[in-house]
Amino acid sequence: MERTLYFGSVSSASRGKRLLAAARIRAHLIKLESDEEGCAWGLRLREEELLRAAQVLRAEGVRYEVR
Amino acid sequence: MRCGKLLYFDSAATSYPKSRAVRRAVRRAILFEGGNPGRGAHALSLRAAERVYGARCALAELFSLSDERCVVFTKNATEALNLGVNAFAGTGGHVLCCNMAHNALARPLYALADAGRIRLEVFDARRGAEAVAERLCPDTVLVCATHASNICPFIADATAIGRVCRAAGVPFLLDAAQSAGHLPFSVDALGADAVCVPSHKGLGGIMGAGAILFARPREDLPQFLSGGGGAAPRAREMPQELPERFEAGTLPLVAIAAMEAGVRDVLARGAEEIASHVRLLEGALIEDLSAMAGVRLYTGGFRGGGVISLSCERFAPEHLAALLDEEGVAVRAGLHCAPLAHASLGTPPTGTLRVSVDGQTRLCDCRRLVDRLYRVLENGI
Repeated sequence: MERTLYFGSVSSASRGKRLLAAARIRAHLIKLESDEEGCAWGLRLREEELLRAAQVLRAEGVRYEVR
Repeated sequence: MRCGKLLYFDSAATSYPKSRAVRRAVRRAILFEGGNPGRGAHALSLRAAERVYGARCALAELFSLSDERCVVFTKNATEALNLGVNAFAGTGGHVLCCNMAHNALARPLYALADAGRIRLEVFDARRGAEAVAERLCPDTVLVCATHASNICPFIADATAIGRVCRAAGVPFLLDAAQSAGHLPFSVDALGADAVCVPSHKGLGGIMGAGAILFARPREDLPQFLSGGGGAAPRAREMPQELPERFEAGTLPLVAIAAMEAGVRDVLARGAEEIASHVRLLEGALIEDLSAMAGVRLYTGGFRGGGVISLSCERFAPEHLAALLDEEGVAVRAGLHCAPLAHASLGTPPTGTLRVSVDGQTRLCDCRRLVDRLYRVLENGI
């Protein structure tokens, strides 16, 4: 099963993807439906990778949400 | 009538030819990555977004930035300098600028000064940090310097200027249009708050892109250009986050892709090796040109920048450039968009003939240039 991490910009999402790739976590860059905030960008990854991905992103100060 | 292959000595204007990697990157971007980055959800747009991000990472690696979000793309170094000048000094105060400045740096400052928004003072680039330290005031909001001149071999001691600025808590903006890709440097080690670079000179890319490299994420700086972007479309202001905060409108994807390829070329060869090569060529040219009767060089006693200005008794610079063009030599004549620098060097009112080299220039071509110049001086009309 896949989960999605939400980012505020394509740059943040791209940065997240690179960081996760360096940690050997495969994630796919996607554009999500616009919400109240506007555009949303996401990284889709396997649920079992979610925790480790969150640790990697937090360590690098990348802002994201899991919804 | 052209004689033999083109001898290109105008790298200070743009690099030529472009490397195979750069040409391939252009082709790939047009054919396979040609969506608008940061806009659509389809594969082309996403691929384009990742290409742009890859370019950010390459520039961050070359200039030792810890955060690739500090790489903000523009359409050229001039736009990057305008962004930097207005971001740091747009709200007013005292600004220092060196006397080797190109119009790309000088004109945005003149515009603010003429509008009464800043008090502009020019300092002698030769004296560098000492001159800056003497002129700092309580209301100094920005120090601007040109890293390498586009008319003579001058290279500023940017590290020393950065040290003075950092100690005084004053932002330091560096124009690296002529040094990026030619000289090894790190934004942080220079003590610069922001460095502006073009894609198409020392970085070997094509015209149409540049970047301002911030030493650290600067979400506190006011937006410069406003327009569409890939985030928060309902907001009236540009996004808070870097780099989107300073990137309005569609990015020049193809030029950015080319810039990445050019940066990777520089990384592969090593900026130190390129700098050493440029010094070698410059030394050979200065030695040979100095020996020519009726030719005067304007180096200011500087070395290392790979740019040499000269004048000759027999022909005005533009005429000499035209005669050299007929001999298959590409050079540039005039004031080179740098009247301030020309004045500081004491060149003739009509400017000079400029010869510039880069990492691609060959030593044998320098000798051919000198031969053709001899031919022109003897036979030209």
